[in-house]
Amino acid sequence: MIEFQNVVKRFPDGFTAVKGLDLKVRDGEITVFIGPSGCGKTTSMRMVNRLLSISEGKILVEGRDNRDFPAEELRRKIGYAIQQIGLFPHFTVLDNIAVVPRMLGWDETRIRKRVDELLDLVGLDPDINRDKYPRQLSGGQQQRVGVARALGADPPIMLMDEPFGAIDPITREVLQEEFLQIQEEISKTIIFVTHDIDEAIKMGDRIAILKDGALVQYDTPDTILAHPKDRFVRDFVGADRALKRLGLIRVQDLMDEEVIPKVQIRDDVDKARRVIDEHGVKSAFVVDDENILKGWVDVDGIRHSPRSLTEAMMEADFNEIGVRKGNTAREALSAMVARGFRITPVVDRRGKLVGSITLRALQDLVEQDWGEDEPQPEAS
Amino acid sequence: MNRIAALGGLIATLGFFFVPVINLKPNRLASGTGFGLLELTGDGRYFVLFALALVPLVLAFRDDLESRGWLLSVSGSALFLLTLILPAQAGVMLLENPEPFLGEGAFIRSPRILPSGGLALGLLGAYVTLFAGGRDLARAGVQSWVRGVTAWAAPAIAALLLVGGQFDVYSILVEFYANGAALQQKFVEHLLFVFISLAVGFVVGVSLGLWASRDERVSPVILYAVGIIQTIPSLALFGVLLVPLARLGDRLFLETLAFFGIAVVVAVVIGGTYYFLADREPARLRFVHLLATAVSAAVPLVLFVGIFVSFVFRLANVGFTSGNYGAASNTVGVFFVLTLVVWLGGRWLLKPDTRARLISTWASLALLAGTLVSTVVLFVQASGSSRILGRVDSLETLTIRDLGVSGIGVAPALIALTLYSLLPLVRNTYAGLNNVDNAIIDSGRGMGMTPTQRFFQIELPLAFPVIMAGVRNAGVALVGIGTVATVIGAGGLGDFVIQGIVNTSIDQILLGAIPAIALALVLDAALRGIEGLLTSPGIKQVQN
Amino acid sequence: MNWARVPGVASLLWAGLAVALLSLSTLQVNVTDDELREAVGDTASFTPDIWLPLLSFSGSTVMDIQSSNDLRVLTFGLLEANSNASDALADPTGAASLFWFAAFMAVLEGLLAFGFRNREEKLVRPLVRAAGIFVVIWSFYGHEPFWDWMLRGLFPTSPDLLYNTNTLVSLAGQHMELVVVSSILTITIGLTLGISVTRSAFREFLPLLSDVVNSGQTVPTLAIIAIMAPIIGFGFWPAIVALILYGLLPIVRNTIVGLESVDPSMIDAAKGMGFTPSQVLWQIEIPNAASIILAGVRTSVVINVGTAALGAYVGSGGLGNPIASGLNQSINPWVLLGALAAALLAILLDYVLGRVEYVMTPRGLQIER
Repeated sequence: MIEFQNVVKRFPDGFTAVKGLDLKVRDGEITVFIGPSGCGKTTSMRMVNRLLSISEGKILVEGRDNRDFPAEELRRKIGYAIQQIGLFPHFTVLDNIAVVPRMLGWDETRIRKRVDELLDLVGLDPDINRDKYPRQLSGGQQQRVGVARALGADPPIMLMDEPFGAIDPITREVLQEEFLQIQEEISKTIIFVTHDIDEAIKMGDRIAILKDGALVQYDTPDTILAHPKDRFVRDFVGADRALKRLGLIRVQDLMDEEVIPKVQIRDDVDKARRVIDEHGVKSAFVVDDENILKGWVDVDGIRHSPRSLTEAMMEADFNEIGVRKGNTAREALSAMVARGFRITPVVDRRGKLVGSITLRALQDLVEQDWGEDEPQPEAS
Repeated sequence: MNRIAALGGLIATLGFFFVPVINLKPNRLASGTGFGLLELTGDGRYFVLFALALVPLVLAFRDDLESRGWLLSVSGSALFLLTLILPAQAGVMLLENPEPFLGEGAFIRSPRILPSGGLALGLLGAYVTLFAGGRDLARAGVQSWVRGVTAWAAPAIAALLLVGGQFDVYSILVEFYANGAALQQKFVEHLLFVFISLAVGFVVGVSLGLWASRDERVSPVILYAVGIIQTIPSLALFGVLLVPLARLGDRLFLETLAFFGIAVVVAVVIGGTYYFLADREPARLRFVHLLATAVSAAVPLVLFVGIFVSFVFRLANVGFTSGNYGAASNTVGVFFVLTLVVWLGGRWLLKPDTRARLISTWASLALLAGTLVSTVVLFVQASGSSRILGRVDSLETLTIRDLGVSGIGVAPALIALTLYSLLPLVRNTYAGLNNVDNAIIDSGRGMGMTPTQRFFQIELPLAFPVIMAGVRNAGVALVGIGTVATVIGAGGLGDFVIQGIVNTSIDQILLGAIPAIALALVLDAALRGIEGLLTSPGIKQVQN
Repeated sequence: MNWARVPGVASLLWAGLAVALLSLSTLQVNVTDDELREAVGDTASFTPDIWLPLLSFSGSTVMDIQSSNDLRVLTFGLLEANSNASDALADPTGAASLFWFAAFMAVLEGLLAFGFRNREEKLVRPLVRAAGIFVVIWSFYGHEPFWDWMLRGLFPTSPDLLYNTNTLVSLAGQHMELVVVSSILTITIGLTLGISVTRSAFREFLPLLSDVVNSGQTVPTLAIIAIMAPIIGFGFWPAIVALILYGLLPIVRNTIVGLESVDPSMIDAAKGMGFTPSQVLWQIEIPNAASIILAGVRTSVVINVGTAALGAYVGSGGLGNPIASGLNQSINPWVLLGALAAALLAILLDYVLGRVEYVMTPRGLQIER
């Protein structure tokens, strides 16, 4: 849908920001442009909706050279969200989101419906927020409105320039999650510029790493982490790329649904000892009749109070010790490290024990990468 | 402790104790005898006023915010009113039998009572006390409109008493009654000065500010030039304009018209070649060419605007002040007020995008048309007046002076005032437009707004409060500078001030100065009001 | 490239002026007027002796020469007798030749440009340059023949040209006196007020003061001056009081704004390092607010130049005098003379104060130009 064909950008002062970029952005995917500052990522993005002119080569949008369209018309078809948000402070939230639809001549009732829809989509109550002014909103809310505005006229393509860059880390995390969910619904073709590799890995279906105006590697996050093309990419993704890769893998892909060291809360201590021995672990999970995780019991506990399981077990909330299927392997690792477990329970939303994940499984995954293409890891 | 209240009380007390409150003058010009508050004879009421001045000093030590605030407001209001009323009563008694108080052989002819420094200090003390009370109330969480009513109650009562004739004994009112008609005329003149030059200055200043904000290379030149104009003393600027305008006034109209035509042709030729050649010229030459275009266009433009505006001023002045065109000028006034009321009222009260709002917009447009038509009618009538074109025999003998341009008089005043209005207007337009967040403009661009849409929908509304602040500054400054225009015979409220200096009569000076101050305050408030109505609520919070 | 910043250019300009003046002095003119010949001899030379009125405030030297009307008419520069000149004409006491001044400035600028290029040079040069330009232009006020020549060109038929009761330079002197005296008082009072209401001890007075300052703006300058006259009497002092009252507004306002705009975290950091309140004021707040405060001072002084011109109407003298009398008696040359002189003085003071402002603003806060 968007195709860069040997695109060159030369500025009047002679600086060449983009040197022959060739790249195809696939439909319905988030393509992340990333690289150190001055690598030409924003410049490349801004040439798509012709906020910057193209010096050489061309950019195809929906199969046509984007210079065939009048610039304004082109831009109205492409959603645009930037780091500074750039909401119009003198317009209400409604007016802000309605900017493009109004320019396209939609009628008011359709616009109102669309605005409410979008506010719902980005998680803001339309009735409360529709007539507020941007300065009455928090930074996170403003960015939600910014995203809603970019989606205003339901453009098939969106350009996002570090849209979550100016927001505090916690809110950023939330917004990223939410945006991924939205994208699942709307499946836009998105070019997403960032300088944060973690964000790129999280958001991107594909990542294009740029350096000095040239494309270095263009691949899925997993491939980039597993097989960095050269030293630059390796340095750029960081020494902890193995760990980062764990961030791409969901617990559900690694967990063991069959083999779980668990005991019923009404079982006796001997049963617990047996389960622990059977599985060759140091502790077992304790569940109640409905298979809801209640705590764990370990060898030490059994030794101290050998009579009753309820006395020997450590009670704990399932949210504290368990991980969910949807969590990343990295989160599971972090939970294990924090509690000193070699095995961690996987629970569903209500706390039902559905499986377990072991440190061994994570280690295997990482070692498999190192083994494959890097006999002498520099990280060691 | 409320030290502001203590300061207020102190000012009033010291003023009453050391400085004469009123001054008894045997006649209009001679200097008179001063009376301190405690020197006034009669019953003990003057002592009450003195005691009242001490009240804020005592109240200042109370601790409870709210009750202190109320007490201060009440005592400040009482102080304000009594400071005006009691000396007036004393004055009435003094005037009944002035001889004993005046020196031997004083020439007594319609003696008068001049309010003196003590009275001014009393009022100042009352103001400070009210201010202190208002602050206390604000801190105690009293609603703002309640505070407003409290603060303005005493001035409002004083205004009613003034209208009711309570203060007629004060010499400034004596002067007012003697010169009321003249004051009205001068006031209209002054108003016309300020409005016309502000309007012209607005167009020129905003255009220049716009140009400066669009072109990095000319912005320092423009800002520097308007800055230099501002440093020139008003009296000097009037003087510098005197010679060229006097020369221009001597010219025959037809001769000037021919020159104007030639200048227009030259400007069109230079501008036209720029329009066609600009792409082919090297950058440096293009800049020179652009500059030449601007300069050559400025010559006929300035000439035309100067003459046109001076002529319009004369027409307006005759039309609104001579009384011969009462019907026409009243029609203009009614139409104008109605236009404002319907338009602003509609914007304020009616919701946007409703039928009623649309009707009010169209109605105000119709009323505006009525204003313009009736103005034209008035001007056509007035131009036949003997004070304007009535005495001109034929077109051949018509000089520019007949159109209102001469070295002394209105033309230099209007030009100078326009020039003075430029700095705040240019600076604020430039700053306002330049300070619009780049990210906002960029997202406007990114969403596909055309440059025109960006300017009118984003930049202008966002820069509007800043531009309006410039208009307010310019307006207030022009009212003040306008008083100086009297020295070149342009009239206005300054006439009274200069006469007052000549006669060493404070009354006359104040007769000119007080309406000027009031005009400045009202203009400021009115422009603030319009600004408030037209500014989006979304950006109001940052103002103030 | 900004040529004015190339080292030595200013020095060369001054040197050029000196050479031009020197060559002018070799020009000889024949004196035709009999009366004049008696006084100065058969020939006279143009000497570019533009007197420095700064050094002779009363202008008595200039007065003597001015009394001979023809002499003024004859030359652009002052005439200097070749031989047996009468002492009355060219009394050199208290006066210096512009040639020497230009030569001095050339050497000084050269020293500054090539002698040392360090920090001090950058601070000193704007001041030296401003002072030099001030002296040159000020000396023009004393150069009666120049004004006479100009007015004659503009008003060939007018019987009156130069103001008849006082020389221009003494009027300018009076004007400067009004401005300087009032400005010193204004700055002292204004800074004191502005600084004290931003201290915590007097902070409660801040809204009151800014209220008064803002509404004070609406009072016309002419009215302030006018009201002072009947109260204080005519002359120097009513004008001074009016100048102080009106000049206070920008200084107080800018002092408050400047001090309030200093980043609170900076003050916090200073307090945290153990600065005393007065150290915070003098080492943190005032240097950081300096540019805004100085801009207020500059505005105030320039406003005072304008208001002082109105002082003519209350008999305080100054450059408003020829304007006022000229307007009264319809003598346009007087009006133009006063107007040009006053305008020039205002622009000149604005420029000089601009340079002072530049030098006194801490270098870390100066925006690179």
